Amino acid sequence: MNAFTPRRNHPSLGGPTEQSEGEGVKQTVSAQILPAEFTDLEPLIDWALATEKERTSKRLASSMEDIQAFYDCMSARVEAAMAYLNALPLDALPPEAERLFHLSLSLMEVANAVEMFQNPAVINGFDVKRFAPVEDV
Amino acid sequence: MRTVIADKRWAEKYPEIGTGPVAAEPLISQEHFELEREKIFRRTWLNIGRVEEIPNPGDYIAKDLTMCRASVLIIRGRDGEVRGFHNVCSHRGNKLVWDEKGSCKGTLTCGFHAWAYNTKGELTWVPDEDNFFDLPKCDLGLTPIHTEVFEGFIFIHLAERPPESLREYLGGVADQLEGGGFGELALTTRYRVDEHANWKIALDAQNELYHLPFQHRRTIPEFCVLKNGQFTRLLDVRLFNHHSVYSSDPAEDRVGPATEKLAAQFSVAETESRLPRIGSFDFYTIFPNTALLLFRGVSHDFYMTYNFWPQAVDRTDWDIKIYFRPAENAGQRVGQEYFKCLLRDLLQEDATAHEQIHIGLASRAKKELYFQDEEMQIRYFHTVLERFYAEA
Repeated sequence: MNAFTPRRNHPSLGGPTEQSEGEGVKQTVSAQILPAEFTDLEPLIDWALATEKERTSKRLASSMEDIQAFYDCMSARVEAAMAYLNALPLDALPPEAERLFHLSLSLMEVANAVEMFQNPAVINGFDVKRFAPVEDV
Repeated sequence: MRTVIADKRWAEKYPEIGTGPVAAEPLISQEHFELEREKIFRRTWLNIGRVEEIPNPGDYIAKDLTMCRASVLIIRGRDGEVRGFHNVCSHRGNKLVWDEKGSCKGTLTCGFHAWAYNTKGELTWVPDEDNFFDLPKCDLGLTPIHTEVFEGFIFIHLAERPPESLREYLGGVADQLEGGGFGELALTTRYRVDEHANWKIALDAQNELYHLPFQHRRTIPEFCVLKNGQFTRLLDVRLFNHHSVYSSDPAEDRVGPATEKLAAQFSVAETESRLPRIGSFDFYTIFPNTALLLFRGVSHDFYMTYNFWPQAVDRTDWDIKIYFRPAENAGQRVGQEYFKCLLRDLLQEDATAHEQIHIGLASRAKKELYFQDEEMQIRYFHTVLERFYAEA
């Protein structure tokens, strides 16, 4: 329930949570690309991007078929991903978990392309070069 | 659910604002732009940023206010005080700080001849000082600008003597937002939109929800229209001395897309944190050029600010900032990302429209604009503009 949804009882999200703030994990070389339970997502690893600018660029540079394929796979796995990631401290995710986190952020980036526009870019949208994030936290 | 379906409530609540058409000329004319420069932007409190942008002594922000023909420096002193100055060196008038944001170790040095100032704006060092003639160093500090802070929001006033304090200026807005806990949220994303549109066209276009089912038919079509096609109505419209707020709840039968539902599910937190909202979504117009938007979040509310900085009669720097409560886990952060992307994409729809409206109005094909009752707050904004234009 939020500003966009009508007032009614929201489902509570189960699973453990850890208190933490911010991000800032340094990428180190890891044998594992993604956590063991999520190796099925490895073909999508190009979507594991750390910043909004990179994720938007990837969305705009991709075909709708590629976006749809990523959306379909990731939508089916994102609840499991959150259950996994919520058990870890957000500011100290191991590299393979951080990639899973970035894949999840990319799903949020492309959702509108699939669900609203059926097009990579916003239809009648503003030039993104003149609408770029200047502080991407 | 508090959706009230009744017509023409706001004209009834505020009969003095009237119901007739409103002149279009102020939105496009150079003459009004010059009036705004002299009679509005130099005579009102202007929001420059928030205290979290300068958390430590020596931290500063600098902003060129094209409209005011001024450059403003806001700096936190070693004593913790937030002060504002003209960003201008006392020697030859060079702009002192050139970057928009930074931190100094107690001294700001002019790049031209290295005159140096402390964080209180006092002139502390002049190279080759003995070769000057009776330099009144004590009087040559930076020129102060009236600077006040409300709930962490930094405002400046460029008049020599502001007619009222910031608190008085904000009036009923301050009553509503006092103690709001805004400092617990953090700037998460900022967009600077370079728009080829008048600043008031941009602000007016944001200052109502009537356009949602149409301009945002792809992004958020069902926010304020029911499945049976009936329009919902705003929860409240409140007019203050110079400012206004409109408030709404979404249509009670709104469903929303699949990923929004996931994002909402991820955003659940053990403890709630709320902002002082009237409805699920409140939009404040803080005269002249600031908007404050409060959103009901799943567990944690969030807010945005818009600063519309006029660059020219047909050019605006739309500064958009989004503040979320720091995420406690990945799920909350991912939820924030969804709502951020949704807002960004629909504001991109808006930004395009602002430019098209400017082209339309600049043709002068239409002399007057017609506002419906749910656009009362825009009508009021134009009433306040007229009040300022008419001042001596």
